[in-house]
Amino acid sequence: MSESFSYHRFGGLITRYWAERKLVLMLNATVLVLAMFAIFFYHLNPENDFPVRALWPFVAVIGFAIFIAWQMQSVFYELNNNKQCSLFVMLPASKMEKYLFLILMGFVLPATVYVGMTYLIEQLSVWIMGVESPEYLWSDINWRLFLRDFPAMLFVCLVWFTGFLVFRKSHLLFSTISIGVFMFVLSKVEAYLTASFSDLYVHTSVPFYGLTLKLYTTYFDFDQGLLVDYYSYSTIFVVLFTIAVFAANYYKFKEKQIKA
Amino acid sequence: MIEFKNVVFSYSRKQTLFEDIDLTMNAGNIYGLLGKNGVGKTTLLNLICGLLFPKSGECRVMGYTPQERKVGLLSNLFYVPDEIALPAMKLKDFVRVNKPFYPNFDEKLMQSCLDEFEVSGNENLAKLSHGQKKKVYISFALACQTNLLLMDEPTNGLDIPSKSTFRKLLAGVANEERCIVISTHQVRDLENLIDAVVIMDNSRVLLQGTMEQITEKLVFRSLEKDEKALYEESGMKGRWGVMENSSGEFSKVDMEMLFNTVIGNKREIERIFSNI
Repeated sequence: MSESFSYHRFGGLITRYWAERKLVLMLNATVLVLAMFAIFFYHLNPENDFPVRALWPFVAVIGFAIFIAWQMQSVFYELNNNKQCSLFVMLPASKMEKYLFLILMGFVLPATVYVGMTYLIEQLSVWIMGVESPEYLWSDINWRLFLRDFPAMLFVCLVWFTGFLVFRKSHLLFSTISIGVFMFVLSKVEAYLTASFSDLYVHTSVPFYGLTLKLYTTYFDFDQGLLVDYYSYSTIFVVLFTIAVFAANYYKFKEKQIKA
Repeated sequence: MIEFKNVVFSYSRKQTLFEDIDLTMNAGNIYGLLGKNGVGKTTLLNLICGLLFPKSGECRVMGYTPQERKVGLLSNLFYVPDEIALPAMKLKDFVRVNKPFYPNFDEKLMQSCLDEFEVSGNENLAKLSHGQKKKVYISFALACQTNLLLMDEPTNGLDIPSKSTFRKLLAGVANEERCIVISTHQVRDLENLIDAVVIMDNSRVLLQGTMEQITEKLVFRSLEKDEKALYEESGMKGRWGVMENSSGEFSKVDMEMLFNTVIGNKREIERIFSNI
């Protein structure tokens, strides 16, 4: 019997979670599908003027965050409920398996389900309505949205995930406040740097959004071919940062103590 | 089975709950963990099963360090907390999804325990009362057949017939390889079941030993006129007391009297039991 990882035990954790929460999960998915259909049909309606129609990508990104937060709340419920946590922590599965389970069910699976669902809804809606629109997420491969806005949302979700392991209660609230404080401090630092160094162009302060951009903008012309450099650099940064945060969270998870 | 050496634990920096606790519990016994409210009985159980970590000292349970929460330990250990929050699902589904984690799980034993407690497998766990939840969880714990079974106030919430059923079931699963630790205030419920005790007081273990060791050192009997005892009670049957056993006299341990004796005569008890 492997101490660190076994597919049998990992599958057992997922089966257990599904059996306990299948009704809530199916309800979440149904609400999501209905909301997405309603918004997308509204978006496709030619009678709506442009600002309203442009809401679709914005709603898609905000919806992503809400859906992930919802799922995280569900998957961390047992761990952060003092009466229930002993059942989860005392289950004969390794810490690695339990942590991977939290990542899979609280982060990876909801994100995959959400992106897959937006794609299907978009395709289905376009097919039903028989129209085309330049603001689709997938049909026109509008990668700008995913590469710019989704990574920013990914950062928010990472902080939420960390918040569930760090804060004792009101995890989403406290972690969102932390993001707000972080953004405020970052904007002050950037304002100070801009004022101190006249040749430095500070673009924006959203992490995973424009944090690395300023490293390039001093030397390159933003409008001429910089996007490729920016995105390739940013992707590596995002991947490494994400891995580092998950690794730090694993340490926190291992050391979690519970009074049952 | 369980070995604590110089274990120190505290919830905050200012106040230490355990100072240098030494404790040994062996297989083949049912231990009663006794102590006043707030002395740390539940905390001790949490340290044994690895939910809490000691500040210093060494905890070893079945050769493992509990705080590492290794699969080998967790699959051979079951903890029944005082308050149980079971998920909203049918009992049979709860058993189906949780039993694969316990290699020695015995489905027949589970069914037999549920039958004894008169609980149906089709019950929705969320709709059960506190006592019924306890019955379900105790049945599951016994069916897991782990070598170490920790129970925190298991008879809390059980009705009178169920307490007797609980004693019967527990006696049925006890064997030479298994160690059962029960933390309780209601010593009368488990008096005939417990064959070893650990009595705790503020920050430390006052007494640990088997019933044989205790009756070798102490005697529980009615008192003669003017006879002095470490602890005594007067009732319908006259005066009863606990005294040091200097003549090798045999007597049956009265748990409540033992507890009151130990709490009221700490230094004397330490002296009497110093060579255990």
